Amino acid sequence: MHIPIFFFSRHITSLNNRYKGFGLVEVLITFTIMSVALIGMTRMILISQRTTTDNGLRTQALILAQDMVGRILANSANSRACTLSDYHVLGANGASLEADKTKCYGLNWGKCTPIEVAQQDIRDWKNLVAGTTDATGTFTITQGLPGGVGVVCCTDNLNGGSATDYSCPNSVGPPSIAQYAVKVHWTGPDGVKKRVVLAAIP
Amino acid sequence: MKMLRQYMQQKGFSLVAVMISAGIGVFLLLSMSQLIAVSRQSYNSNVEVARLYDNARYAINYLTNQISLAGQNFYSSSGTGGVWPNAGSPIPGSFPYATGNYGTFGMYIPGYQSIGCRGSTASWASPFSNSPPFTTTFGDFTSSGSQFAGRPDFAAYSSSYFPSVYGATPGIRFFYIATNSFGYIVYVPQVVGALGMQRSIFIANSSYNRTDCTNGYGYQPSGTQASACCRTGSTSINCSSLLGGTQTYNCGGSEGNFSGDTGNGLHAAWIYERVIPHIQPPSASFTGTASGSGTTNGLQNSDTLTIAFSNKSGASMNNCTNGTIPSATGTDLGQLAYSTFAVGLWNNTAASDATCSPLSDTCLPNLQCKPQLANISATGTTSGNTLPIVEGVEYMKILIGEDDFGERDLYGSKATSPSRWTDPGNFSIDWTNVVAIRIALVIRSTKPILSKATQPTLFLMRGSNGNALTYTPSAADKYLREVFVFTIPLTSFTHRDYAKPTDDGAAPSGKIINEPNVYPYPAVKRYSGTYNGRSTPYNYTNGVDYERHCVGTNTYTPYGGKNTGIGINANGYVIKMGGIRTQSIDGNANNGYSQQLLQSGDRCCARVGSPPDNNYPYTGTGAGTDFQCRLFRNLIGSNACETDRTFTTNGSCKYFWTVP
Repeated sequence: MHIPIFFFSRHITSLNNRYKGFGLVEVLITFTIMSVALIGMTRMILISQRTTTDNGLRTQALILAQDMVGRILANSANSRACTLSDYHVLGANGASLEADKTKCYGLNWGKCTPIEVAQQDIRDWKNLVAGTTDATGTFTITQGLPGGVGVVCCTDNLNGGSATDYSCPNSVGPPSIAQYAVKVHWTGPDGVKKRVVLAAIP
Repeated sequence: MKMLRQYMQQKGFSLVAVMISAGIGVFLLLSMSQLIAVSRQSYNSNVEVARLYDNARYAINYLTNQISLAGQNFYSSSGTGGVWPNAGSPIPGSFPYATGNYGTFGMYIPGYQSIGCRGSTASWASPFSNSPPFTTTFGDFTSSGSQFAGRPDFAAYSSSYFPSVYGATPGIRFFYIATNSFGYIVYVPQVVGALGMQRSIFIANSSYNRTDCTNGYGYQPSGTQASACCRTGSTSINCSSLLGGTQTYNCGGSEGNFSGDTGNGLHAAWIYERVIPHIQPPSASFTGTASGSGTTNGLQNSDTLTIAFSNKSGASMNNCTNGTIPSATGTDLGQLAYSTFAVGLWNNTAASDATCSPLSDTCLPNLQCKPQLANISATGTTSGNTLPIVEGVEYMKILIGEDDFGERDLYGSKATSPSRWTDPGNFSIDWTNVVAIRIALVIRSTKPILSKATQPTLFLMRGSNGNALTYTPSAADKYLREVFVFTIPLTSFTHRDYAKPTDDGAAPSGKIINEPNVYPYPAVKRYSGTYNGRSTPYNYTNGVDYERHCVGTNTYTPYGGKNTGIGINANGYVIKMGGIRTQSIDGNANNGYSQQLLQSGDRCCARVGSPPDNNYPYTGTGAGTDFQCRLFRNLIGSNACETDRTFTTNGSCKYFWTVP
């Protein structure tokens, strides 16, 4: 097959002219595209880690709420009547009364009353949720949820309030049954406030 | 030629260009591979974290389900089902665990079950009204004179003697040692048997002429790692420093007087021994350290917990691995099922708890369960294999929530309140009053996923002195550790012996508590009133409903020599009173101190002493300020509080209550 030589000639010349290396613009574009992709992938990893962390926090929050439910059920002498209940603690800063801890805890009989048990429960549990240092300074709780806030109230309105609103609507006066909403709020790794709510019916 | 020339004019990439492009390529490749590595690492970490929380959820569910079964369907010694074991035959003195047959083991920590003691030399007979299946009585040791005479001797009662009698067969046994003098009990903790059995022993002694057990000594060897808790009087001391290879218990206690036989030495001891299949002893390379109050016994320095229940409903009930527990049928009382939880190591490759060390992917810390069945109607036990339940559980600490007495809620329904949280090794726990269990688990990832080696001190929960219980891993490593605390209310305990009082319909002369119509008894409009509760379980006869007792007796004096009872104070709070006295229906005050069996329709009447005491428990002293109770049998409808010999002051009844 005969190929006209001028064809090659023109073409090769043209090649020589056009491809002398990468231009700055090309390199920059490549870098930009690659970095976008890389950032995207990095972000994906970050998101996946956040999700895992968030799931972990949610599990912790649930277990903490479950613990409070257990405490409420165990102390039915106090919790079964909302009018008596010291588990009815509204807002972020509820009762933090500490009964004489040597009464509620001890090798000897201190015998906390049901009310004192409830107060101690609330105090200890709120500390656990928030990971705060105990006010008596006896110890520091190293764990706790980020931005953790525990709320317990006697209400049948489990959906009351929100992740950022610690109030307990419809909690004025005894509800038709003694039912508690145990709420654990925390701040997720994405900075968004979240909560879990469990019901306890002693 | 022209063509050749043209070819000669071609230029490849310059060296610089090649270097740059190669550089860029390498950079991109490195970035990508780095990304992949990070992504993989992240994936692994995510999987581990998710796995850790899965394990936590499973552990909590499993423990909650099993522990909730504790005490279900226990039988009284009479064999009538469904009665809490305290309804055993009356026994002199306070032997809270010696009354029933099988139900006495509702829940306990190995080695800490109180058995009883007796100070009187009048009778050396076993206090067990119905001998448990594994009772054995050792002989008496009678001697007097020198401090060494008559005491159980080291040679005779070292642990080398016990196994020669009982070997390593799993089971629950009672020993009875008696001496009319003081004495020592010497016991060498042992791991016996090929796989190692945990031998636990409890020794209670009693001072002369005393029937309480306040000077008892509790002791729990745990595998090769012995620890102990001694108790003298009301003070618990950790005497682990006293322990070497041989433990010598001066059963004379602090009151011991070894100059003669008139001292307050040991006179009798009921020894409770429980041999359970052993779970892997702690590995030095693994065991973390715990600080805080109380004792930290058990494997891995963790607590162990055993629950027991039986099946009388025919329902399908399971302990950890024995399968369905046979139900009681006819005269066959079925079986007691045990689940013992502990923390140990598990060898994945050998599929056993055989020693594995150091820790590796195939040698993991685990929450383990040992099942055991004991026939109730006949002797014999069945053991199952220890099995791992949840991987990654490294430490377990338990608190026991004990109610001092049953309360009622505002509406008069049965209710509970854990009056104290205490260490499971506490001698003074009345296990039949345990209403809740709190468990702290330390669970770690199965693989090291942290970027830095850490050795965090983790806060667990408040311990039995109110201060922090903590856990610190034995060495810095890259394992992620999380603490999980949960509280389990014990339903079979919380509802065991109380029923709601009913409205008698009569207008009371006492105070009316305005009760809203609320759950769980919306129809009840009830006047405030005393209710019987129970003053002491020991005075009741078999199978009798506690509810029908209004009163206690003055023979049981655990609280400062006063009678005890339960009432509701002027504010509607349930209180424990210094005393409720009975008045028989014939109004004869002279038998007012005896226990009266109420009948349905009987009315109880009580007044608050002077001054009214809103405290809980009642802290007044003297009978004059106590609640008093009178029966008004055959006086139904009368709301008058009869002038009565026991109501000589302020004679009006303040509280009424009708026996349902």
